[in-house]
Amino acid sequence: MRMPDAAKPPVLRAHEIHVRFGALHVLRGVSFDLARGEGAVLLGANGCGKSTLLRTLNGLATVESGRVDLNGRTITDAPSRVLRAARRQLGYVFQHFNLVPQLSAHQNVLFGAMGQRRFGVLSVANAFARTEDRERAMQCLERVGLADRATHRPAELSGGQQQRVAIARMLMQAPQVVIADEPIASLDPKAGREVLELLWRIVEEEGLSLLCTLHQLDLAQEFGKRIIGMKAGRVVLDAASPGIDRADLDALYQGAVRVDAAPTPQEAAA
Amino acid sequence: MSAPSRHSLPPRMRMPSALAWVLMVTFAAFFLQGLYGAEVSVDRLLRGATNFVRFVSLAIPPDFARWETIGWAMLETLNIAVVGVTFGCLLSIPLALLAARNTAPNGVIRFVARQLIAIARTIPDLIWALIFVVAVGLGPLAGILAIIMDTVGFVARFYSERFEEVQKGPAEALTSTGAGRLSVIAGAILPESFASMTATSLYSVEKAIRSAVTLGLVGAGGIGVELSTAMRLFQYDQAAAIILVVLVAVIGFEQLSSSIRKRII
Ligand SMILES: Nc1ncnc2c1ncn2[C@@H]1O[C@H](COP(=O)(O)OP(=O)(O)OP(=O)(O)O)[C@@H](O)[C@H]1O
Ligand SMILES: [Mg+2]
Repeated sequence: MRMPDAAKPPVLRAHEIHVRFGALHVLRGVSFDLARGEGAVLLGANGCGKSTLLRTLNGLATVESGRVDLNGRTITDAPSRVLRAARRQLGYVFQHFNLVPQLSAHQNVLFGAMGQRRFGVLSVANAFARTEDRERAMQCLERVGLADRATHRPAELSGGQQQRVAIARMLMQAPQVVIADEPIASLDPKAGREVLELLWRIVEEEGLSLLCTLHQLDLAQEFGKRIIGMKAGRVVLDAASPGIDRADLDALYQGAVRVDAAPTPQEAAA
Repeated sequence: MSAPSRHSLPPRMRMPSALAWVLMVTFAAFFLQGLYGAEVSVDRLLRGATNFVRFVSLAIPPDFARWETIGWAMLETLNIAVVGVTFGCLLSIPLALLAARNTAPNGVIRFVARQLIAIARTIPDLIWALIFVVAVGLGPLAGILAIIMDTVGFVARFYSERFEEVQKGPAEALTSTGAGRLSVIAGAILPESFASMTATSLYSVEKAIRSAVTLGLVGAGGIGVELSTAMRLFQYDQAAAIILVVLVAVIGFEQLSSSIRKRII
């Protein structure tokens, strides 16, 4: 296991996380630290628990035991005010973009600030939003190269463009940490690479931390300075990326990889 | 053609289960009893036909002499429908949010909201009107209240089913920005449901106009009062005029609302 870097205090820390859905023990004691400005790729086979792990980090999924700390403050089982404050610092990028289909790209980007404004949706609805916010949303669209598509609805944009709008929304939110769950899995290779380059560039320019799941080992090794590998609900690999053996990565996809196929420790012992 | 398969063919029909038999026999018995209870006979059908012809001959030509009264009464019916549906739909939004799985704060509240909607729906509009005539007296207010209940029963259920069909993703994305529950609902769930909510609301106006006509029959205001008076005084030509006015109003509004709906969806 990688030791936490003393010089860089972790911005996000997961400690011994267990998650269970009914009888299915999905996360079986997952721990890792993410330092400020660190970009890590999370790898693992389908059903090994990656999405579930990411969802526990901002409280979208509830843990059975273990805890998540953001800037030294525990957000697991925290009151909703604390949880919401933590979510503002955790920008989420989804596989399916998750834009509101009926609203324009600009309005979707403005929604990134929803959690920060006193009156929530009212403060960020185009009709009522402050001019500074409307302008900043426009700047976020410019940074992802879509200023000319501000009034387009998601359906009028390509998949890659939609994901860039979602990245602009994340920028609007101005988080400390970016969580990206397979941000390019619904994109073609070319658009996927472009989106990944954009995401990494923005994360670096803003000095953000990034935890990103991918299914492309080449891209993972190219972009991730650190790779965390999961297998059947556990972290089995965590190392700096240049220097990881390709065989170690391939091993993540061999044998009992899924949590619903692998026996739990109790079952294995019995 | 290839040789017959070594596996046996699936049967053409499955034998109905014992329960299905019981249900079928019960249905048949019920149906026959209903026919018998209505005392259908050739004689009665013939007499009914002659009475109907007599009604039609007395009703033609329709008598529009009291067109002013009829016009005002029709307007009152439309008022009852529009006011009732407006309040009904406004009430339905919070109720539907409390009743939908993905927006209800907890299971207990959801259960209560669903029961309230079910009660509003199960009791027919005429019975609501009778109840409200007792409560607030004869006149349009009773009609409006009855339409509100009828609208809630129908519209709140559709709204809540629509909310439950909304995709989870956008709502999760807004939740992830740290937004509160109401903001997420207003930002992700309502925009996605808006078109179908409007269509449902328009349809419920159509339905309400039809039911506001009949509510007059029990004294809850509107053109139904005129219609029942005309029928009771055997002024079939006036009744025919009223029925024609109702027909024109209902068909006119249906045309209007379907053209609005086409534009939205
Ligand atoms: N809400 C839920 N209820 C029940 N089971 C769930 C739930 N969410 C995930 N699971 C189960 O947990 C296991 C891990 O799922 P998860 O989505 O975390 O995997 P993943 O690593 O993200 O896979 P993929 O690469 O396919 O996205 C799967 O077996 C899945 O069926
Ligand atoms: Mg996943």
